[in-house]
Amino acid sequence: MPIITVEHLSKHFKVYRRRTGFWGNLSSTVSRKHDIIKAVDDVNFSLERGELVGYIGANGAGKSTTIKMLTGILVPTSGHIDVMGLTPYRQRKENTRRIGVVFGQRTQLWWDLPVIDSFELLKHIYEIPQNLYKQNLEFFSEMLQLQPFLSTPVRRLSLGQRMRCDLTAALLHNPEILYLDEPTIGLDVVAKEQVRQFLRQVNAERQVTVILTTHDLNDVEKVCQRLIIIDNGKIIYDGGIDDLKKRYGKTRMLIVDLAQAYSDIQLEGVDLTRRDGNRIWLAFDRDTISASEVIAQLTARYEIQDLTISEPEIEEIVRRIYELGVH
Amino acid sequence: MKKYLTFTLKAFQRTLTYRFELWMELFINVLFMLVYVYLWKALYTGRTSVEGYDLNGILTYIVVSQTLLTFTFTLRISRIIEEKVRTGEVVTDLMKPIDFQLMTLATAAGTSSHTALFNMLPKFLLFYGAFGLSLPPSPLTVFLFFISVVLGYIILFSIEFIIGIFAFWLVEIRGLYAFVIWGLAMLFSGYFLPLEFYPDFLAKIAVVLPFRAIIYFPTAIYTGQLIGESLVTALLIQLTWVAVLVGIGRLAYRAAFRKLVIQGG
Repeated sequence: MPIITVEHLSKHFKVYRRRTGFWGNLSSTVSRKHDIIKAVDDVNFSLERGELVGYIGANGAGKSTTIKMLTGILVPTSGHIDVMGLTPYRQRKENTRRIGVVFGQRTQLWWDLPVIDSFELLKHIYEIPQNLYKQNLEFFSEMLQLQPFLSTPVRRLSLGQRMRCDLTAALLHNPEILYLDEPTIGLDVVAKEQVRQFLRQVNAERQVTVILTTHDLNDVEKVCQRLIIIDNGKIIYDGGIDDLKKRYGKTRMLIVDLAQAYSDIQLEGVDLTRRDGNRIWLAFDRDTISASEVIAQLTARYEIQDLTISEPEIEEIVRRIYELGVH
Repeated sequence: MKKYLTFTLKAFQRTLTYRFELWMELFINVLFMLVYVYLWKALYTGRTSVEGYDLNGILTYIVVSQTLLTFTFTLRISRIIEEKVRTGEVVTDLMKPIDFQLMTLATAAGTSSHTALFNMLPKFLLFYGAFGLSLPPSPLTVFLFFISVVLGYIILFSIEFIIGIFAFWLVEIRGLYAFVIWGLAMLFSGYFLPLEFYPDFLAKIAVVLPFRAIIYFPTAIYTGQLIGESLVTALLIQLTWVAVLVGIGRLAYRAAFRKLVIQGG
């Protein structure tokens, strides 16, 4: 049985139009016209217990709106949500007891107090039994190396340290689902890797279902098994990452360093997409022409110094899906 | 209940971080109180009693009410709520299995206990010793005085809570805050003068507003101005205001929550 089921979920916002100018302002106060923004528009998906899903989309695509409805702090305009058998916005408190939420942009820790004090506060808020609390605290402290700064006030932590503490804070009460809204935003490479590693481990060892929204597609590629892409409120892709690459990642890129800057480059079945001095970028579809055929053409006509073939980056694929839609 | 007590404890502990701010606050307060005390000493030259207050009585009134006033300018609950709404941090609170109003009260109580212990008590003792003020008439009055202080505090908190909740609709609540707290509350709470000194029409307005229950009632209980039946009536009025204002706060919060979950943050 799925842990989360979302059926025909929609959220429409009324946005009041403001007329400009003096008379415009005046008439706006009397009668206001509004537009309907479909932030989330007929969305369907379901998640099994223990899944690790990346939920991605451009700014304003409807990611956060969906997360807010799943956590129960936003009421849907229409549709149905079932989270662990609960309707989140009707049974908000019951739902909050069983989920953990991390917002990359803000913290739930008390700014002026040592980290450990915020954890103790959470222990009481969620009424976590003492032995479970101790056990979890030890587990996470070890895994995320929190020991050195547990008694440091939160305001003096680095962003990476703070994020590790926030992750712990969200998991102390053994939630069944963990929602993460851009957990790696602003982190350096090492800290990002640490967060990703942690999420994989928590998911594998504790069977926590994880939903992750992000702009950083490396997060998705390295952490998630499944990817849901939302654009303009609608889901445009839902499936495995390898599958996405197979379906949309047929294009290969060949980067060639030529011996000299040839003025005219003629090749069949290949797009010259970029040129920078002696270096050229060639895009080709691996179903119509193989890499060796392209290289054979090249070596026959030009003198080559070096070449590399690159796999399509997931970022590139997603960009193309945004631009062109799904085929 | 225990979880809210933890909020109180942690808030108390947090206040310890800002020692410098606390000393500055105390220093300025003491200067203000000195000025008031000397003003009243000067006004009483050649008089023995005004509206039932002799010099010692009025000085006691001024020092007690000035001490209680400290809650008014150190509470800051409206600003804290406004900040939480503006930054969106309020969502983090809503995602916890906790009552927002009770949590806010518990947190405020922690901060204010610290204020009471490290600002109000030393300040009061200093003036008590220096000017030979009087004590309440009986130990029972001392007890009832503290009850009245707590009720007054909850009334002040509730008013600030309601103002703070307006931040869900208004971009800016500073104007509303200034009008209610620096305007109405200052005028009608009786911190500046005992309400007996007020002209008739102002006294009549004060009676229908909740503000006198914040400072005037506890102070007048301390000085023995309110005794017997009038003391019991004062406590009952305070209890009524607590019920009414806490209730309005809950309704306002519920409306704000409804707005938030329908229209988004």
